[in-house]
Amino acid sequence: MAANLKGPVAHHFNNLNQQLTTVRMGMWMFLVTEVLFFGGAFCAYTAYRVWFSSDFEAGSAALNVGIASVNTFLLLTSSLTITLGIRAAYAGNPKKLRNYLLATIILGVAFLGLKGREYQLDYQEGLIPNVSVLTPEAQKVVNERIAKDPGKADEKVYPFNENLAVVLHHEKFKGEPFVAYDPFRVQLFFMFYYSMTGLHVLHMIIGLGLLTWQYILACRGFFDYNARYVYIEAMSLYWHFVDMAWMFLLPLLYLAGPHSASQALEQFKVAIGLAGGTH
Amino acid sequence: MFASLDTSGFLPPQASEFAVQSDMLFYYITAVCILGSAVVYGLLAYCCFMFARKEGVPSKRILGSTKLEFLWTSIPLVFFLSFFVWGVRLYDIAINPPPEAHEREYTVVGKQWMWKIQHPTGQREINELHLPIDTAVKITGTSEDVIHDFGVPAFRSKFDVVPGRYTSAWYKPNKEGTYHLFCDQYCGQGHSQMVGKIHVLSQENYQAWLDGSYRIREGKNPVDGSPSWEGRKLFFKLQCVNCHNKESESRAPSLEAIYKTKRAIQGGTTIMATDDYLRNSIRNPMLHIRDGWKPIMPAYTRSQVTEEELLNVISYIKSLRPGDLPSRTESTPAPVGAKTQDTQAPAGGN
Amino acid sequence: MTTEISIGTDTPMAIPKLDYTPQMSPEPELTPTEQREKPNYLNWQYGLLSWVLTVDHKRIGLMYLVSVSIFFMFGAIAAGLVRTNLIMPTGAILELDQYNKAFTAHGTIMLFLFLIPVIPGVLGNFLVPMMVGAKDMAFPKLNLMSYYVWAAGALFFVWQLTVGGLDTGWTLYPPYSSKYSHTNVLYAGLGIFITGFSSILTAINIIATVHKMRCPGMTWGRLPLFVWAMYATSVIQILATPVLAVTVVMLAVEKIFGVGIYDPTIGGDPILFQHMFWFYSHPAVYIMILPGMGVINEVLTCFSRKNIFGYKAVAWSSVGIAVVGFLVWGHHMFLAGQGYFLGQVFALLTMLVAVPSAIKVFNWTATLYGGSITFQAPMIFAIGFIILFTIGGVTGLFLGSMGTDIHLHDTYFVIAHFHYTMVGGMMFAWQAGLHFWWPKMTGKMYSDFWSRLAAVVMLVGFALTFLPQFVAGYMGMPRRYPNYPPEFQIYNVLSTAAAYLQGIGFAMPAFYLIGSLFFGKPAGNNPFRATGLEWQTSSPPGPHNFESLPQVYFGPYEYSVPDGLKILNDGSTNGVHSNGSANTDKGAAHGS
Repeated sequence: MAANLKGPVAHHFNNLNQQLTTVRMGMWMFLVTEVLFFGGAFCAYTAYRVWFSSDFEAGSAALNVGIASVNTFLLLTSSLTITLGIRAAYAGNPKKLRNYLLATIILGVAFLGLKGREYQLDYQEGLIPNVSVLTPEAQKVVNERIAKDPGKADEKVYPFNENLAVVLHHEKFKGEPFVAYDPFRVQLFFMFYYSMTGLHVLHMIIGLGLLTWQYILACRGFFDYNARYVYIEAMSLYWHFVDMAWMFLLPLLYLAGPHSASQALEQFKVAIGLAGGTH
Repeated sequence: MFASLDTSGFLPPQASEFAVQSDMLFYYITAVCILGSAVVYGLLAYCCFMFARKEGVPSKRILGSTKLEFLWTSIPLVFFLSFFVWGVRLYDIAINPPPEAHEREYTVVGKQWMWKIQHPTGQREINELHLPIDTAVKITGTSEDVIHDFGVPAFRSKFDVVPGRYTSAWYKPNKEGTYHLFCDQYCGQGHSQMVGKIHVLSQENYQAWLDGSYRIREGKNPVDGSPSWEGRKLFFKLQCVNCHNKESESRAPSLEAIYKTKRAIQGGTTIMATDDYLRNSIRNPMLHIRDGWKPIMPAYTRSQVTEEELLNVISYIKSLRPGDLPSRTESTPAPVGAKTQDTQAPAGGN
Repeated sequence: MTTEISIGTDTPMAIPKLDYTPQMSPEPELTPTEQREKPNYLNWQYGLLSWVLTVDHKRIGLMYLVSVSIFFMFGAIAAGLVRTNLIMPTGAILELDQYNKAFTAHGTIMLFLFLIPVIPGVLGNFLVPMMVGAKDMAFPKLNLMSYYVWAAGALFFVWQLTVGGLDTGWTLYPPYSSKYSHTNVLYAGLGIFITGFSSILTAINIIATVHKMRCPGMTWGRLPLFVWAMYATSVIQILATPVLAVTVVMLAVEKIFGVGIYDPTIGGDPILFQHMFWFYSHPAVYIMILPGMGVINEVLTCFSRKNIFGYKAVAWSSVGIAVVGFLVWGHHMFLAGQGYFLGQVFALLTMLVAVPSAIKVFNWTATLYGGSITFQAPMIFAIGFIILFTIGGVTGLFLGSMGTDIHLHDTYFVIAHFHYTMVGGMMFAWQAGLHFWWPKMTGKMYSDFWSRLAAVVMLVGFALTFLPQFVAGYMGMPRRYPNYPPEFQIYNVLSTAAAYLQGIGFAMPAFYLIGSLFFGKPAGNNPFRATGLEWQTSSPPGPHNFESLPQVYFGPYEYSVPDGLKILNDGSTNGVHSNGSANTDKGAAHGS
């Protein structure tokens, strides 16, 4: 395998094989740190998920699983394209490599686009703890409540709690509305949701930046030496890790609560503007 | 401010039984460590003198000795495990109050930057605590804001007080005197100001102190002014009695004699009714819903009932024996709009 | 008197008769003319840019040295403020919140900007490639980036400390840090987050270097124990630092959005922060001490002219400390309310993690037995390390045993314990390493008299500073108290007086070490006659470390094997043990 690899060897390495194996090892070591980084957040999340399971189920039910499903498909496909890119680099086919890199970038950008739309919908539904104000629909509910019982006019109104109630009212599980949850605990869930998906988005942006840089290098003929496939391989390792992190985020966050296929479809339609409604 | 404190020499006073036990373990570990260090330092000194460079004397070639490695792995390990075993037993004593201590439970609420202490008989103190000698007492604490630590070096005892939960310790003071109370978890600017005094008094002096301290106006009934009594007043003020009352056991579960019993929770599990459980049932009722009941109890936040008031309510609930639950009509009409229909879930669960 | 020798090369090289066996054939001493013509890593390129953009691990090591020393000075000033304030029970020079900022600054700067980066950044960077026989680290450019990331984070952090301060203590416990502190918790956390990256990148570099860049003949069993220690440290760094990063991120989220996962008012758990924080911070103390222990191995063997006693035991105890060190974080939380059985598990594991350190201390002491000991400054520091680290280690046992921890938690006993291990241990090991390898790094020798005096002053000053604190802590004096009851004053005054002496001791090396750059004698390749690969090249080394690829036949500490290289020349490979140590007729191995 090493026989037909050609490429320059850096000054501090003794031979090409040493350089290739070292590069790979370096990336694996870095990914170990990333596992611990996300792992810390996952452990904290899991602790709360066990303590407050019904509240976290309710919170999960308020998430847009339609977008999440499509995003999963996009991300998995992008992992495929970058892997095919390794082969292209190894075979010394820079044109194919460029195409695969480009495909990966496009799929990644699509993921981020949908994710941005998801955040926008969350914002519109007023589901950002301590930041959101009452949505019009929630305001109506509050007004009705005060109208029915004027004694409650002095009660402190938490906008997030009210907005959440409105969202969950539309989400029914086997026809039963969500009642048995504590909205403050659901705030905890949402803090996890934003933090963990936010960290993931950050890692994707960095990954896309690196992919773009590699694309530019490929356009300049950097990968004409097929020994440099190892850098595509290192990139793919990082990208696969980002993918794996998503594969953990998906069941932890999105699949904690009850969802159905029709609901997912409905939510995706709303996301891309094909249907009305706030979610 | 700290005058007339009982200190002597290099050791803090041993003012409780536990202090004596704690010091014994401390001396044991000290002895072993001095022994171990003496071996190391002795060998070190010996080698440095005997094997200082001498012209013409080469160094020996010694690569190691499995026997010695085994020896100096296993002997320290045995000693360390002895520290562990004794330490765990000591810790066990520290966190398990004797039965009589449960009868005398003091509560403490730490807040920046003071200690608010309440006696089981109702007296309140700020940054001071008067205790009778030779009586085991339990102290339970929480915090209103950040993490503090209620530390009494003379008793060799301290425990963190954490917002959102209860922690506790117990003492049996056996020496009269005045001792330091320190906050032992950094809590901000006034951390070092959050100190106080623990006064251990003889039985007569303690009684004199009790008699001299402020009592509720309603006569000499020892229940008056106690946490339970204050809690009972809150029980009415906060309208708990509307659902938890003698008449209708169909609106809310009975609260009589529930402390330290197992409660069936929705979802098929059971949970022990501890102080934390009672606290959560009021602060966050949705956390554990009793099997067979609908989740309709509202949550009471800090603005509606403060930490000290909550401790009093819980004291009251703990004091309820069968038949003690008040009836709703006892000078408290139902508020306008209160539900009057049956709210118990149908048989067979939710 | 020289011996002609050839070791796998075509041309025989003339080398002097040695009373020890270096790991590779030493390169010849350069005459002054040769030194001018053949430049070293310091002078082969000139100009600011050649330093700013260098990828040479040795230059990067020096850059770390300068920066780390400056931050040490800031931390020491903060310590001076703290100790001076404690002369009076009512606080001598600082207000309450100023004191809180001072001790937080002292803790954070010393930990994150000195103790964690110093040996990995200076000695690790400089020596690990040379000790394994490589031309540079595995990822030289990453090495440079690691330095800049660290420097940027450190500068940002110190800036935050000066413009608003941080008063949460280095432990940053919520709810105080998330909701009640009015200081720059967010930005200081960002500074810590950034410097953490440097830790991770350096560690990745070291692991890859040790795995992939060893020269021929350098098996794992022939690695200097400093490399084993750096390897274990790097493993801890890559596993533990990210957890601190995510903990700080969560704290930041809580501060920015005002609601968070540690917030008890909505059901969050402040104890969760403590778990996550200590999951990093306990292994962090091993990140700090393991490199120091690695240095001690090198210094003790060289100055007692003896092989290390129990190479395998010491190597594996480093690994053992690294592994078990991840399992004991809860011993910082015995009183936090974490649960009784959980506490027991942590207490048991804490007792287990003490064992490898004990093994090391015994092995080091046994290394001196039968040696031929001289007491230059590095050796005084190393022996001081053994003395002080022993005290630090055994006082940890009091804290790890749950029962006694109740009384001692959060008192000055804890402060004295960790200062004994971190200053008496790590700092002394750093001084030992700095003094040992200074001639190699700079090519100049420092004053023997002043360095020995400084070592003694530091030893006495340090020991006296913290011994009274054990007593004060047992008496009950709490930590982080700017004001305290008057009966503790005597201990504080004693401690502060000795602290000034200690400060003088720590300042002294600055003078004679920097002075040696201008007035010191040239050191020669191997002034201490040590066996490691780094000592067989010129001082300072050339830009690519070695003249040619080193070939290693011997273990790292063959001090008592004279002329081992000659054995190779005889062609009798049966004279060489599988671990590369020569099987001479005199002084056959005792035991195994």
